[in-house]
Amino acid sequence: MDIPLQTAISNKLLALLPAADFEEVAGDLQHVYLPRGTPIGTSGEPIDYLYFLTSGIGSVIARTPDGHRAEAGLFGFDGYVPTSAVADVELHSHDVNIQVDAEAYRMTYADFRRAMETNRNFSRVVVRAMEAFSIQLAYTLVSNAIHDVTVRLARWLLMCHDRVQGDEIALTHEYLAIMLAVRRPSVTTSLHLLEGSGFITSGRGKVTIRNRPGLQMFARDAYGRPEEEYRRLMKNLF
Amino acid sequence: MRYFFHIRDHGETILDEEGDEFDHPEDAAASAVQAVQELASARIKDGLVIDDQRLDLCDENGVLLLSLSFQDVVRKQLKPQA
Repeated sequence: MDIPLQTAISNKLLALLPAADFEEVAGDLQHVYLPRGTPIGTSGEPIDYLYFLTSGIGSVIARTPDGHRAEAGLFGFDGYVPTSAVADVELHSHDVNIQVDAEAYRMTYADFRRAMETNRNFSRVVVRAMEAFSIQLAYTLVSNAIHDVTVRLARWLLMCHDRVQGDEIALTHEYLAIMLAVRRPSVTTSLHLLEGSGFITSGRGKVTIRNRPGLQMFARDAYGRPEEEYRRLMKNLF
Repeated sequence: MRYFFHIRDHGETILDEEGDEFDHPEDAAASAVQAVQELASARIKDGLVIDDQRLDLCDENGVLLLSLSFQDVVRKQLKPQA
């Protein structure tokens, strides 16, 4: 197995590790391609691997007993999943799927647990990332409660844009409907409104960000805090 | 079978290019009513009037199956007080 070169790795958490700590886990990392739709975790099932994305986007989806779904969190090169592994919980708490074609480094649950117990700096980074993820979740909760669907859509688009290269995001309306916990026609209508304001263009299966500052202004109250907190949490760790 | 939920607002059409799969047209129709309820509620919550908005449900051959007026859907929810 090829040992990855730390300077070439786009996952923020792996890149942040002091070199010696990275060397300790590097041999456990396996590079994988994860096309859109790849399920990387099913609620209640054992955790096989931890994934550190280097590109693409995944989502953590909470599913109710009646089968209703809504997005509980979004991750890309900024984090790792599943965060429950940090708590030494062997089972997935939620469904996790890849939403935009991704690449990742993965390690087995056993290797992750060993690294957590023997590598203090590794442990520090992933625990911080888990806290950052729970802050994102808290703001998703607030936003779902108080912001209208078009503002919430703007927020999610900005969050996706943060995690992809370029301005094009491959997103189906079906996925957006799940992210936002609304019916698809509400997504169609909200995309149309954002397009009318010149912030995006929406084509078959993809959204292109045209005016990022404008979209951010529009999302205003709904976007930015989790991102600030992430920068604060991941600064000056070592 | 795939069904498409187009929205018309004062004659301007927002096309649903993706569509959704349903086993029976009745399920698609029920989903269309629920979509209008959601869209109309959002308008009310934002203080927008409900005037000339419609949801046009089409099948995958472009045949119009149902055209729902937002006003009609809202009106059905209103119960006249004695």
